[in-house]
Amino acid sequence: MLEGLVGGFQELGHPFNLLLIFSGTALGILVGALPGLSSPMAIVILLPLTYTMEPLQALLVMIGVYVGTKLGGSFSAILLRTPGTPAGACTALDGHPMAERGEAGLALGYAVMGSTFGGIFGWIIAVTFIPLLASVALKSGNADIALVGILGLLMVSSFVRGSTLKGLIGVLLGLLISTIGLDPVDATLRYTFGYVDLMSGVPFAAALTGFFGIAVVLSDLKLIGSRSEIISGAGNMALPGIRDMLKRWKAVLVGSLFGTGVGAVPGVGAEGATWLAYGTMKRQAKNPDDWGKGEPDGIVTPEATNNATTGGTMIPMLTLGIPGDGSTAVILGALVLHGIEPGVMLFQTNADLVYGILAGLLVSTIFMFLIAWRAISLFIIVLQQDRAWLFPFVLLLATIGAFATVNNVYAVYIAIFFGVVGYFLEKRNFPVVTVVLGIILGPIIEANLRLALVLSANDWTTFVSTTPRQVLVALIVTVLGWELFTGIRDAAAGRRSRIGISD
Amino acid sequence: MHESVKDCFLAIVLFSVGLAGLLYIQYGPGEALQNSRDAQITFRSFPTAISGLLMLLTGIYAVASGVAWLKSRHQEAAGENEQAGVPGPAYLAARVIGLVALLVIFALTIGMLPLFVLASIFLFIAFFIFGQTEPLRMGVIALLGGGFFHGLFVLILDLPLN
Repeated sequence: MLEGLVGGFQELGHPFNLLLIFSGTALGILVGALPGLSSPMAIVILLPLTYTMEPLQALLVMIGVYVGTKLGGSFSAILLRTPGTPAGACTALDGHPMAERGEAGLALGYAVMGSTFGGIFGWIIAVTFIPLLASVALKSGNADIALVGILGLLMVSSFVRGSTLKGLIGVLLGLLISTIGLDPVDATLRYTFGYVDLMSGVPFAAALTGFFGIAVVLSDLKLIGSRSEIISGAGNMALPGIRDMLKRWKAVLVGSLFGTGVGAVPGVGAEGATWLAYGTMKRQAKNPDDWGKGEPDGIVTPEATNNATTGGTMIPMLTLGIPGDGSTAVILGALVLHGIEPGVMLFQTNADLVYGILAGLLVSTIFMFLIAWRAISLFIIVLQQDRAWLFPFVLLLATIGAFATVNNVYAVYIAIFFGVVGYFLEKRNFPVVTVVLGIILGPIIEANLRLALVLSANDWTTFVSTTPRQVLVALIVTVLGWELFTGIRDAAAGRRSRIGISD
Repeated sequence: MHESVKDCFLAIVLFSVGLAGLLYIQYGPGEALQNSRDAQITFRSFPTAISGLLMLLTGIYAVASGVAWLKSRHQEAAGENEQAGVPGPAYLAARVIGLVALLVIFALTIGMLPLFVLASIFLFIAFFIFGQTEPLRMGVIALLGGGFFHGLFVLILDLPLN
């Protein structure tokens, strides 16, 4: 393992590779800081620019963006009370009050330190567990992979914002879209309606561009014209001392554990993890009443959580080929576009690439710290700009990016179509990430489900024939049961409260 | 339009997608290979299950939205909730339609004009849709942007967009 990791760092030693990570991280911080722009969107619009690069180089830019956006979201959360990313919303609770009382620089400093420590913690966990899990994953059969995929989809439906029902509908919609084209086992055409272009299925990158690029810009039209008022004194970062951070070891540790743990659950990502960690730390705090009024631990905890998820999400992505969140879904798509098949064999066939990605994750976290520390004032200037100048460029980059995926205008129509679909789904509070994960995991689940049955001569007990499979089935039943129980409980509580009101 | 009605409408649209998917995979073209005819799961099975589940869940979503709408009507009649008459953001809808139309026109004209010209026109109109009002600044930025896109995608990445 150590040898592979050293090799990964050696790959990064090339100045051009370092420049790519640096640029990606800086862009990520910028994108994360701007409310309305997101990490998946930035990675999607970068896709066409990376086609001519080596796979590792392309992935290094994307990893940089992914890590950078995690911190960038806290800048706007602290200075504007408008989080740049959903996961940054938690940071606003204590970050903004602290900034309002004249300690904006220190609040930003806590965010940077929390993010850096969290990122490093997540990296250590990822580096430790990925080789171990990859060797276990290699022994998994088709049935195991299908069950993990189903569990991932159920979990993402349960944990994403909004209702589980909408999450599940999104997943099913994605799964249905994934069945367009050649069937993975029989090579029979499905839902192609006679169009040759649809034979190879919906172009994945074009669909991503639609959902994460065009749909997001359309949804964010309401933000146009808003110029943000920054709290004064924000341009001077005041990093807390090491002694101060050591006193906050519990916030860093709890945040990092939640971030890595929850991030490693396929499909869940950072959004839920930050709130879970924040709630846990607040409950255990000596003065919980101080939380929400500018408590530094209230900044360190969610930021450590947020950046620790970068390591956590890598675990299912690099060992099973299952994305941890929207950004890793796009990174997974980039792997496919560069001719690399993600999944349990990835570590076996492309160990250099995996170690390169892991090395890039750490280097990007270090760059994130340095860039934020030395160049905070530049990001604040950008924060004050009207997004109306930026969004047309994003839209055009996304559109041409869709074209570049297959060098055919058909992909642009697909992107526009899914952009409009994504816009309407977003408007009705459907988490579009569930649709995307359905599109990605659909073929994996179907192919493995069918192959498992073929190999077991149609014996359905193959899905409970080993202990890991029994555990996976138990988890699937538990998640489903829990969702059903909470749904009925909430409906009953709603009815009781209405009766109470009418009484 | 009431929010529950919009939910109900979307639920019906998604239900229709599920129904169409189910009918097409069951009665549409396609023949399983000989060796997979013996299998319990064929090329029809997965889409059938997905379409069926989609119909089930969107059915629940439609019923729940319908019930919510009926309850809100009842509450509005009782004077508990007076949201009627709140003007909708029509300008937002107009901007969305304008942008989608611009994207479609852009897609239709790809390859007919050099990317530099197309991108500059796209950016200028998009700036207008996004609410910018300074034609000179818009024009200069659009031209610079057009040059950037042409340089990047045509000259550097060599995409067939010229």
